Amino acid sequence: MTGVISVVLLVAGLAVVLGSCAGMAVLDDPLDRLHLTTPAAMLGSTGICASIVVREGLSASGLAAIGVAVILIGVNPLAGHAVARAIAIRRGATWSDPQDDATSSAGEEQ
Amino acid sequence: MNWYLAAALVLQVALIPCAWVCWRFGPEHRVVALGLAGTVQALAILCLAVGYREPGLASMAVVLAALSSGGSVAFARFLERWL
Repeated sequence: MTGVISVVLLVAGLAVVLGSCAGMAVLDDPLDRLHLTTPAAMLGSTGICASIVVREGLSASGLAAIGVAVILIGVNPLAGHAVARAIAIRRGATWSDPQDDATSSAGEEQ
Repeated sequence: MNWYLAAALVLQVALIPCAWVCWRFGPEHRVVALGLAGTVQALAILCLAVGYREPGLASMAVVLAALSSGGSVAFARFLERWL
């Protein structure tokens, strides 16, 4: 039973990653393509890493799988934001840090 | 060949669209494709580690996941400021 669950999770995770990679070839805009990195990092990594944990338990490989999933799920939104910000700035958008705005407005008041 | 080695092979095939985007399109597209390729490659190394029963290789997947995400942020900064 554990083996079946493991294979089902693995195939589900692979399907999500494959779908994201296929979409990378289909879509045209880099911001559209950026949306495809999230399912691969969130659902794909969760499925594959959960499959490994179900199969291996909390062994070295299982713990590494948990580590990979935590890193990908935690850091991917930050990386996606940084890339989207860079693309927007290259396209001419103005991007200001709210903290900088607060500092400059306080300086103007003085 | 077990399920995890087959999964690693499938993940290598999934890298082809990312490589195509890096080859054919501009820097904005490339940095996005590179981010996805890092994610896919970390998962592929993890599958190889389980398939070959090499726990040390799984640690490398953890390192790759962390560094590829950090690398994407660094490339985004370069793209934003200098490229």
